[in-house]
Amino acid sequence: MKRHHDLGGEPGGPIDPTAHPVEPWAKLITATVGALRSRGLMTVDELRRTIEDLPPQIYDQPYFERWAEALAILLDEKGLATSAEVGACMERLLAEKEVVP
Amino acid sequence: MNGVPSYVAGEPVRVIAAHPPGHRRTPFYIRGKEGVIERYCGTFPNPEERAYGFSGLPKRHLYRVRFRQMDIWPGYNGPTHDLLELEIFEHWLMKAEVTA
Repeated sequence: MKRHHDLGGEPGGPIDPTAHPVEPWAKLITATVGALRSRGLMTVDELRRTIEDLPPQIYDQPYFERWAEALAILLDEKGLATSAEVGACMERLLAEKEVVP
Repeated sequence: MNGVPSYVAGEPVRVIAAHPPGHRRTPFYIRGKEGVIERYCGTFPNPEERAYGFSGLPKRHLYRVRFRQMDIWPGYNGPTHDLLELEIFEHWLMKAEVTA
């Protein structure tokens, strides 16, 4: 059976060729993945596998949202950071953001 | 690595029509289709194993396989000489009797 991520041959809809802003958090996610790969802590194949295994409703989020979701799963899988630790960190960042005027 | 490559350039092949679970690098739409070996690409660690934290060794033979678009898409309306080339690992290929 065809899996959700396997889109080859499906109608893709119109392509939006306009430039879109690159969010700083997306750069940070990319840098984190690069650092983990360069230290031999994960492979691009593991990242792809984790992205492909995301539930369809999460997979259908924007590109770097997928990366972020997959990265959190891989950090937990490899014992580098539990999902509770990642969640607590996100809560803290959110709280810091709220106090900034 | 698993010895010498099983296929040479110009040889007709069929992509295995299997749908195993897990991370697979052969897209759904090409499974079961026939094409011709365009070139031998060398040996590479198996990404389908590396995806789960294994080494991917021994390395696997990789080929670039040439397909006719009309053989891939039902009701394809484009020119009959339209081609598509994909890189496919040997464990996804089998011999084909008829040249595609």
